[in-house]
Amino acid sequence: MSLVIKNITKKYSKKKYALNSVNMEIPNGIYGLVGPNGAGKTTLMRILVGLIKPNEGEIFLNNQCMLKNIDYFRQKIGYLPQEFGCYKNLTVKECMNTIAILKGLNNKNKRLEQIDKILKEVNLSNESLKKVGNLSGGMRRRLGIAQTIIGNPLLIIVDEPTAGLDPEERIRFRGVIRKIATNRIILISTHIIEDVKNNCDGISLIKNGVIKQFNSFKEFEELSVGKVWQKTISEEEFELYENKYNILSSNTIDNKLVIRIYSDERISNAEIVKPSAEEGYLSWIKK
Amino acid sequence: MLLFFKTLSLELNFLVRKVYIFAIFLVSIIYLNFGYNIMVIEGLRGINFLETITFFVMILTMGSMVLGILNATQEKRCNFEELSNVLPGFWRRHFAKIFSWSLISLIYSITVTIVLIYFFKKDNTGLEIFSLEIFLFNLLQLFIPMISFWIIGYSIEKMFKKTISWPLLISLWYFTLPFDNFLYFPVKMALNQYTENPDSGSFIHFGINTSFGCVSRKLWFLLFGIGLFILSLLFKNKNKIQKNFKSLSTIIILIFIFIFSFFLSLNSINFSSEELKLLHNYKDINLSQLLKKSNKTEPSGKVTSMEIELGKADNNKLNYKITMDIEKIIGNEIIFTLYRSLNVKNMKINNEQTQFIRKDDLLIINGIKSNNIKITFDVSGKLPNTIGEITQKTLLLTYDNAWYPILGNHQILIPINIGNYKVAYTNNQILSKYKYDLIIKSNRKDIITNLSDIKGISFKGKDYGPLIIQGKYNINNVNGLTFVAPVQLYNYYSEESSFFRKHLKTTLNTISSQYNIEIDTNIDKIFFVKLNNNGTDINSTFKRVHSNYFFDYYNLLNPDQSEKPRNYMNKQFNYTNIIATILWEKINKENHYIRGSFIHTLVELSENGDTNWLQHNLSNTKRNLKFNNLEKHLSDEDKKDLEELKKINLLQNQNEIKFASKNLLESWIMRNRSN
Repeated sequence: MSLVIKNITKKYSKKKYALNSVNMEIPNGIYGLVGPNGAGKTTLMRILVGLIKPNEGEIFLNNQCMLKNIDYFRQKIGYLPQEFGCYKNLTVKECMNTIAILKGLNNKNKRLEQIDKILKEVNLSNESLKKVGNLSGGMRRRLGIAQTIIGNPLLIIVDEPTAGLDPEERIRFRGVIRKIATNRIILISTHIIEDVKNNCDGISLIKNGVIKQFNSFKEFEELSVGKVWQKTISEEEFELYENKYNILSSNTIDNKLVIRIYSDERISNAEIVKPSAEEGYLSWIKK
Repeated sequence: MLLFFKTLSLELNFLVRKVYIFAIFLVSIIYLNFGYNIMVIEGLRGINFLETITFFVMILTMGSMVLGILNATQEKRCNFEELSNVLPGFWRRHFAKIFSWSLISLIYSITVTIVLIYFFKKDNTGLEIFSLEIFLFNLLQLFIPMISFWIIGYSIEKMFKKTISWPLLISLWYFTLPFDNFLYFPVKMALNQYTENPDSGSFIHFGINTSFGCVSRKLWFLLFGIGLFILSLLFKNKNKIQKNFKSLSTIIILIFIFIFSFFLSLNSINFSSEELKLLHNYKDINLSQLLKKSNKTEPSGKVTSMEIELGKADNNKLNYKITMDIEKIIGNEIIFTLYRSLNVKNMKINNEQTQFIRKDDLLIINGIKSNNIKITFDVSGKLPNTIGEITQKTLLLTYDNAWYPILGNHQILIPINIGNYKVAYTNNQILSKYKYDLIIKSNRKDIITNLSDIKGISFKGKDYGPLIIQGKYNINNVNGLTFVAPVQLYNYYSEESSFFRKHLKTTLNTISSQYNIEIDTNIDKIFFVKLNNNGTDINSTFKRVHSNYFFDYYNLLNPDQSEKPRNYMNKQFNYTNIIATILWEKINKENHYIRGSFIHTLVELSENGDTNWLQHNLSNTKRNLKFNNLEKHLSDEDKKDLEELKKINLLQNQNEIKFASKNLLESWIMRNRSN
């Protein structure tokens, strides 16, 4: 199974591109789409779920053109928008039931059976009779991901899934995503590298509507190998370095400032270091 | 479809949880009860109550608009929209939403119908037999405005911010108020018609009447709401991919529907006024001709039998086929009187096509070869209400009016002075002197005739002519008297049928001895109908055609029925009414102007001797004669009558006035006798 995105272009005006000839090929598994705010992630997500029509390009899911028959493919897609909510006076189970009916699941027994199974998978079985309005942020996110699985979709699109969650919930959420990733494509849009690092089989970076695709996280990390330098400086020197170089991070150790710099050229008195994933990402977006 | 019903049950499930919906409905039912049983204003009972339901509709439309706003606000807040917009059941869900609202509104309308029928039954109005009509009325007056405002409230709230949506909705509610006198605009807007009253007027013999205009405007408003709903979905949801060719076409079609249906709604105002239209089109009547003395002869021939077959209801048009057997025809010419607006499409004598001459109200047939003939007419046309009432649902055709060919040369209309420089026409009662065999067949259902005590479509009997009535009337034989009244008033009036008979007989005998005239005091049938004379008749509340007595229920209406009919009738219906009617039968009025114009005044003068009204009437007549250039057409008798009236006006003593007035009246009658 694969999702192929070919030359997708979305213009907001004649000169302003939200997406500029985006090409991607995404196999089964979890795939991360990382980029800063305004990079074009949400636009791409909305094109994939049929909320926005691109100006150019085509999308194929299992070699079938999605854009020409979006109504059919809506049944094959699960979508968790960045801001997910449901009627607050419904219980978790009722909310799932509502979405299942809207997804076209007709048979009552099968529907309820599937809902129970999914709730178990996302660890919400105990909360099934709880009102949506009474759920915590993390639980609501898990309910969000649970509803995407209804109808056993081929493609699940998740927009900024862990934004606003505490670390514990974030870890739990990643676990849920991993659990449901069998035999389908899960595309996660995020600007949190940790979400991608620990979970994704593939990754793409997006900036100003342009995509760079990596086959693995390792490949992504290698993006800035040999280009990240570490140097210890005094606090007074910081402004000077900030103006001159692309500073990725700074830490104070024993009243000294340890900075890490992205640079293609050698920096005097600085040692080359192995970049972290975040630094790789930052170095790329700051390019 | 199964999925749609599942989605519908989901939406209903959401609604049922909203307690405030039921609170609004419950409050409105309490208000209804308050209006009907506690805050009883005279007249607001039965159908009249239904007509005043508009205040209730105003509250209801406001309530349903609030429900729509609450629905939209809740959806805005719960962040479900972005997800629901990409689900396959997006449109299904939204249409299920409209259906669920409709279902709730429908259940509500049924509840209101049940409550109203309970009120009517408790009040002994007899209206429960119109349950279906009351339900249909509620569908039109409650259900459609309710659901329309619900949808509109939702759509506008969904599309705009509160700062825009609320003023917009309040304005819309204000401009669609059922009472246009709340709106101070130089140009009458059609918008206020969407929550208007039905067109039943107060004519309860129509039943609960709704016009095409009313229905079309209501449906337009619903369509407007649904159109707005679709637009709000297309524009407000983030589902921009749906703004494709199909969506654009939908929008364009909706815009066209809005524009054209608005014209339809404006246009349909014409259809909304009372079905009982006041047809006063006398333009082609030559007034001076009516005042000219004609060389009238006794009718040639005698009708021995008549068969009428009434055509199907055709709005305000009358269609029928009539066959008459006529014997003893003298000469080769025969004349019939038939009101000029009726068109004779076909005429046959002894089954052979016959030519005829149409001259104003006369049908002249020459070349009659036999003394006995069978003549057939196919007639079609409209009538002024003084001659007969014809609507889709009602009929009032009495045989003293020329709605059917009456043998002989008669004057149908008598000109009278009604003031304000106006000449009106009252019908001249053309009464046959003999009875003949009658067959009445009808393609309209449930008609009442002078040939039976029950409603039906086929009748056979003998009388002076055909009398046909249709409407929401009850008919029954009460102690040997055929009694007809609108369903809503039947029990009220029929309780005292014997009183009516006794009272009428006594009055007739008194008049007979007072004026020394012979009066037929047989009373066979009493009809409470709408006389439709529009103030141009000699008497607007009472009419007599041989032994058939007609009372105008509208003028005598005691809506809250708080008083016994005899007390109420005495208040509303005075003795002079009956005298004027009876004397009018005995007076030679053809080619006269003054008699018709003054008979009522003169009767009152003979009773009370007060000349104030006479003075007013005289100066009015003087102006009228001059304005309409009628002076030169007045007959010598008219001129003489006018002089006599002027003399009475100069008298000071009340007894003298009474005596002179009575004398003048008697002289009119005497002349008739001598004629």
